[in-house]
Amino acid sequence: MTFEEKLAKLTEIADKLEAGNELPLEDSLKLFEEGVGLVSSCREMLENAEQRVENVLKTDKS
Amino acid sequence: MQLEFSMPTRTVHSVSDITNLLKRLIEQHPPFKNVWVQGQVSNYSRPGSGHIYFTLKDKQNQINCVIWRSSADRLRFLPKHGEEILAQGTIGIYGPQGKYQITVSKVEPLGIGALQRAFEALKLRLADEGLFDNIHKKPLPKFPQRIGVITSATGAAFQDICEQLRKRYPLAEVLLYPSLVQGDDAAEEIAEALQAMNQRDDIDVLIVGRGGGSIEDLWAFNEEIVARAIFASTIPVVSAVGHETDYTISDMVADHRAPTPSAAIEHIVPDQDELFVQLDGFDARLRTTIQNQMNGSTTRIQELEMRLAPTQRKDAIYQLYQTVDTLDVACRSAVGRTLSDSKNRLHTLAQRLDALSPLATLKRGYSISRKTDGEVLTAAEQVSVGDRIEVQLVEGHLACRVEEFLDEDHQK
Repeated sequence: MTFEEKLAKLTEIADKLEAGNELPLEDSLKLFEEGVGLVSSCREMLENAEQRVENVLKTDKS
Repeated sequence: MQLEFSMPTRTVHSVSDITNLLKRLIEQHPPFKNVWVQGQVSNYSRPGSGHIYFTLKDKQNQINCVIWRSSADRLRFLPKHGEEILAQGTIGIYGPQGKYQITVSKVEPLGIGALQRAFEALKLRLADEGLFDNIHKKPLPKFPQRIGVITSATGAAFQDICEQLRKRYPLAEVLLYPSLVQGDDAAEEIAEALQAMNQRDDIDVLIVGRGGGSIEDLWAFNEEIVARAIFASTIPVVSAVGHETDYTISDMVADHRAPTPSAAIEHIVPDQDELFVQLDGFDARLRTTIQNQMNGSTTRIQELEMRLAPTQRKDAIYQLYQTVDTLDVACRSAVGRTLSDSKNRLHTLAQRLDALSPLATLKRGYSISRKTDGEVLTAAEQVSVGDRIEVQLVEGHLACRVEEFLDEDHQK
């Protein structure tokens, strides 16, 4: 998943969890665990990101 | 205003009269109040006064020019000897030397004037064609994964972009397409780069730009070929030409305009500091929600416990009432006198049971004693020493014999 997808998923989970008073506790706990996992994986993505720079060499002029 | 040259009676004028007359004629002549003159600068001098003197000439003629110090300090361009310039000013008379001159308020190198006109013409034409219309502006991706950059590989602009991206959002990858960004071939190379980048399908957004420079340095970004390539791009384009005040044609046709290359990065990627804050927010939301739900569940369990306990208590009470009823029947036939007492006592017992945990209460040792004929014992005087009595416990019955009467306090 890309960072954007993870953030979208996270938003979805938080909304679902907040809205879902009727959710069985077990389902809520599953969502919670998934959400917390996404938070830490997003944090890791940012913290461990190393800049990647690529130079497209022009085929006709390089 | 007209001079009268009436020959018969000669009117003699002073030099100053004539000078003032000419001054009025020339200086109040509307077209002379604001003229643009093109010519080559010569005899340039700037003495200690700070005023600038020079002449503008073409092949046949020359005109004296002056730039007062107050104007000179405000000018972006100052004339240089031998340079072809455009000068804007007013035509006037300088009496002490009997010369007419231009008091210059604005100077443009001639090349710029031509560029400026070309710029204005192209801007109008492209605007007419709708190339700048908002309807064509593509939105920027919120989290670009791959950013295409078209600029000089060696320029400060590219370094700034990488630096800014490292700080803000290192997750995004940079794809550089090196291109000249000034000089005669720049426009064509930039347009080519735009087309080449659009051949790929892995680029989320393009930055086209360079650092600041003179209007001539930035000229490639005012060329039609670049404008059309930007317009044709299916990838959103951010124009980032380091030019604080004026807009280039590229700025106008691009989907977004940034004043500098590093500002372009601020436009197109989120700030990781804010993302960390956002993630903390999610973390808090998740934890609060799950905590609330756990608390809610605990509360529900407690509620159920509460609801369950009184039921047990009621059951016990109903059992007691049933016993009372049974006893009632028995008592009715036996000692009518004790009936109400028994009922009251049992009622009190029931209330006490109601107030206490029923099971505990039932285990507290209450029992019912009866004479052999079934009469319930509520007073010691109902029996005599040696009588056999039956004691009903919570569980089971006992047959007992009365041994002695005890004092009231002993009973407690």
